[in-house]
Amino acid sequence: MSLSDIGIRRIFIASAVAAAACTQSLKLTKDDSPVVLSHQLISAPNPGDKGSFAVKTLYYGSGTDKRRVIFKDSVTIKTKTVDASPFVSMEPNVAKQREKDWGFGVSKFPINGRVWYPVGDGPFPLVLIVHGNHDPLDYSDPGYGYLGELLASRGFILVSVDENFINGGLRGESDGRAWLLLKHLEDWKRWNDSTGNPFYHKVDMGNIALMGHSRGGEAVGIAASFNRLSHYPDDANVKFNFNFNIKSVFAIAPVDGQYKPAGVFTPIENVNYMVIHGSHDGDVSSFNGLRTFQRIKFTDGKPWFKAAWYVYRANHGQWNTVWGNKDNGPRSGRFLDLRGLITPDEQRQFSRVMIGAFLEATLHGKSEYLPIFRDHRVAGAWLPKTMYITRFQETGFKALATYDEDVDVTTGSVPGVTISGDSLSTWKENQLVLRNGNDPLNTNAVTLGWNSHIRGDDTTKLGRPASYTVTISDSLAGALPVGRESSIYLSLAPTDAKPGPRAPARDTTKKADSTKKDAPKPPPRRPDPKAAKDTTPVDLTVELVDAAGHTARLPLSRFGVPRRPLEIHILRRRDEEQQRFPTQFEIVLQTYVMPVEEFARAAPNFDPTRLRSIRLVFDRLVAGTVVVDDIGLSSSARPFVALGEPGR
Amino acid sequence: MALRRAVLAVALLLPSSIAAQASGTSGGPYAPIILLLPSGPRTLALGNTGVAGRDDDVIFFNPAQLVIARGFSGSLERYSATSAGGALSAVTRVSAGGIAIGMRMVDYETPTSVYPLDRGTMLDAAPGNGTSVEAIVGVGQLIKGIRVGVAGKYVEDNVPALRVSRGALDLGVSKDLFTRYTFALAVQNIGASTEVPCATTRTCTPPPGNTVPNPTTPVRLPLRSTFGVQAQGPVGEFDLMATAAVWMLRADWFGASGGAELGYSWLSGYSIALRAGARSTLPGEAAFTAGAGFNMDRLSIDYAAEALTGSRFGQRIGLRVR
Repeated sequence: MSLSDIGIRRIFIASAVAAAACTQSLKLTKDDSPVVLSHQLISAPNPGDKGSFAVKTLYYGSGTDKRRVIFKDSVTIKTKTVDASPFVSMEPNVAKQREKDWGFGVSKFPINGRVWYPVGDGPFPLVLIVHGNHDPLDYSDPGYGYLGELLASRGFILVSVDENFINGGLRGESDGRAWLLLKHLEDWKRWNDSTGNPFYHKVDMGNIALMGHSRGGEAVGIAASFNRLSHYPDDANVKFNFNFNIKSVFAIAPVDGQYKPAGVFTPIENVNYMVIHGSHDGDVSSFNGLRTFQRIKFTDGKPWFKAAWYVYRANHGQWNTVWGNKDNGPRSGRFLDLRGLITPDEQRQFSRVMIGAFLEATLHGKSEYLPIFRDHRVAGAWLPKTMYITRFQETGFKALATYDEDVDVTTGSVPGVTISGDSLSTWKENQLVLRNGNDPLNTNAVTLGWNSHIRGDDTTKLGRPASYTVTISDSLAGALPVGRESSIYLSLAPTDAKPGPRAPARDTTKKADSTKKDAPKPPPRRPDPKAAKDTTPVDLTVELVDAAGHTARLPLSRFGVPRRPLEIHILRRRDEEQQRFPTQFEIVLQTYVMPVEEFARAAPNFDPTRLRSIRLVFDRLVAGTVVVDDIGLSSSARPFVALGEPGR
Repeated sequence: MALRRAVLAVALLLPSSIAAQASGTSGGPYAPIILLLPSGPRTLALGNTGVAGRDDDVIFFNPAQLVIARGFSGSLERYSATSAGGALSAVTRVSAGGIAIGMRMVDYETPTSVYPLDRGTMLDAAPGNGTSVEAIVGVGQLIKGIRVGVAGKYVEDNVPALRVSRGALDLGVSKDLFTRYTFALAVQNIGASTEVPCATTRTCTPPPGNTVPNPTTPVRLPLRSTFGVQAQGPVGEFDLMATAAVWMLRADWFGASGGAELGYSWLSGYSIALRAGARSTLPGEAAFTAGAGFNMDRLSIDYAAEALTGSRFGQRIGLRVR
């Protein structure tokens, strides 16, 4: 063996070792689902199971599709093409190439759809689902067939809309994706009114839902917004006249802000909205839909609700059977760590359950499914065994503190609310950001840190528990829905930050010596990166105080699971993960909806009609930090809290 | 489809290569010999085809490609028991282009009164020592969508009987077309011939009745024009790259070369590649070349072997940082 042979061998061994060192071991947060999902309080049938209707399918479209026989020879209903040029623009050479590839240009976009529908007289609610960006020739629209089979069997008409021809390298086309959905609805309205059409009088045009995935997930929000506009915001010469009864919008791992009408994030109002997102999404790697969730407003007094679910270990593509587990193309297994993903079946079981429950509740009016949106622990038997963080809000929510209105940490969101803190190590209001590139979530929250240990030699000595109090003035209390029927809202996420021990209280009996310098502050201790993570469960006490000073106290964990951040590693290489993401977790706040009645039951002296303060008392964990947002009250959360909390 | 075309192009060019080899035309005399030698393990494994390359050692093939080439590299080659050489090159971005420097050198044994040497003679043991050196500076710039480059070089041959040095110029153009193709044209070693004493050359025979004392004869630079294409793209789990070129040494020697590289990555940033190539041969060379590479993020280790005459092999190893 020559010297050069030995050298080459060494080089290759060293390289193999280096490659192995760069690849990170599988790191996942310990699964608590065996406990959290151990109850099933909803007794209604599983909305993810097939219903009683026989299911049929058909296709509608241009009838001239060059690439797909189902939209050429197999269409049952022929549709006219539409001119999408105001909404979709591309370079001339790109337009030319696409026209060559597809056989049509942007001025002749087809209205193509796959329909799964129930056999029966109807009328059935109409649900449109649209895919997002993907390889245009790896057709995305068949990938929701599993939802079509489910929903049609449960009495919905599901249309998987074909927008493959907008896929590929286009930008700024999300409004076009949205507009096309509304053009589909125009055709559906016409068919429902046309004798001889297979759908004549079978479509419940008063109950329409839009669902979208990825870019399609943003498009459904834009469509809901365009639906109520009279003009296209980017060109008022383009007039709109849609006004469909879009009651519900469901977004699957959506992007957000790729289209901004008039330079602002698309405003969405007065629809039921739900967004789901996987923690291990290798494409849209931050929970962008949270921003959409935050800005949805209910202004017309009707009983709307919105929910956002973060699904641990779910990815981007497994919601669609065509897309699969490689979120960045067929070869993305080279850099995406796929080991931590839940199985495709589990991920799709989740979407069956949640989409089923959402549509049953909002389009079929089945209120028995509403409690799952407030607390997922009531449906432990239906949900795949992973961890979920959920946000929720309904029409009746009255904000006390959302931290968005000013920089005064002692005032709330409405006049008459005052805020105070006691013994807190950290108390600051700041903007929440998404994991990917510190993208702002467009909402502020308060960060509260505490440590009950007193600095000094005696490490067992604890001070008074820190607390944070939101106080309502008498006049405001009169205007708020305060009473036994009310619920307290609070959204909270623990973080891994742990403040140091607090300074001992000063002896106020001694006169201060103004000439004496303060003892120098010890330098802040740097966190030891090798120190084991604190895995102590986070909990705190929620204390309600009435005007007479009577208190009612319950642990927060009774109303939901306060979890430390869920660890996320999307990429196989540790260095690339750290380079791309500032943190290995996404801050997603869990919403707790706490019926006041339960506090009254725990403390009979407490008078819920005279509620004056909501206090967070940090007495169940010696040290920790939480991010808190959207503290408020509601009197219309009753249908959502009707089942109470599991394990009570 | 694009890759199929590229592979087809290589396949079409190789027969002409073999034909040229079979014609047995002399490849010279050209000097300095350094300009006839390979310069990088990756290009060598591809039949010494690099006119449309994207690595920093493209400075030795086509300065136009400096617009897109990045990094620096070094390589060493053992041609025979008595001859070895190496190359260094580096390129960096300047505005919308690139600027590069390069250096090549070979050390060999030579008969005392033979000049210029060909590659075959260079491989053999001989009583004298010879060295050949090239130092090159090049710049490439994008002009109206076309990459244009120029390089100036200093070359020198040192053999026992004389020392010959020269300046020369390389020019090149290139452009990407049809998404995956790079087409490139380079004219290298533009410069004047050198007059050397007849006594030191093996090709100079003074005419009968010559009365000129110490007659001289011109030794020409290997003026070389090369047109080539390179294409690359994914093929299933693999990355395929193919390249081919036709070239002309002055007007008396035509040839072709080409090769292909099959790469596989199992982890982002890490890949291995196998390469094979063929070329029209100059004296001392055989047709086939092969090699392999290992890439670890910005670092690449490449190895190549070239068949030489007399069942000998030159082995080249290089390190490249992008």
